[in-house]
Amino acid sequence: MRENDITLLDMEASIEHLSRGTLRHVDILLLITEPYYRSLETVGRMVPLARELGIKHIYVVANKVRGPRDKEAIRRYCAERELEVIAALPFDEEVLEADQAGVPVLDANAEAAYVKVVEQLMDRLPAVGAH
Amino acid sequence: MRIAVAGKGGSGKTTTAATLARLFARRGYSVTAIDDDPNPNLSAALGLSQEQTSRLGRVPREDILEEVEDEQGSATLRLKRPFTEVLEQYGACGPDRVNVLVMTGLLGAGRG
Repeated sequence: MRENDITLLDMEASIEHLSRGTLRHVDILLLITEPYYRSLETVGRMVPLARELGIKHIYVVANKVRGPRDKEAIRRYCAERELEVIAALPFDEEVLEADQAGVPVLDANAEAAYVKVVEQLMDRLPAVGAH
Repeated sequence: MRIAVAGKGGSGKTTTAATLARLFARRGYSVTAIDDDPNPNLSAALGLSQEQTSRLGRVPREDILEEVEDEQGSATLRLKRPFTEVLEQYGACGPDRVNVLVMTGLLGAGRG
């Protein structure tokens, strides 16, 4: 695999899936969560397994964040579990509208607030070498 | 570099994976996006047409993967064929030249 290659894996939601298979060949695991308990718990349950598999870079990505209270709820949950929140993606009507229209938000508006924060997320990812 | 995106259904993981894939491609990376969700919709999220999406074949496990033992003696999966060949046969190329593969259930089923 060349250094310039990126493989992005959109995983099945179930956690059982994390305990098996080839996930250990993954360099970076991004755990997407909404700012409410059941979503956070899903992510929280994945973490010990992901750590056990030896994934070095595990980050939480907060999504659909509407304000400081949402951000704080996620921050607190993650701090208790020594998890790093790498980005807080805003709740963005443009994502919903693009979804309803069946187009990627990037094509609907590349300047959308959501897209801007995904770009910041990319800048914060560690540079991981080729295999 | 391999990046996996996980989370509860509805958390926005597919939208985020797709946006990341396209933005990485725009920065000059060669990107392959793999859909491992039993409800595959990554292709649409990436902006492939309905026609392209419907033509995407699910990659049959036995055709591309074999189980081998690693140095520690635990089972691991290995690609039997060159990845570019697999992409050509089963994949599609979408906006910003992001390649897409649907591999539902394949990667996790280590001992299936």
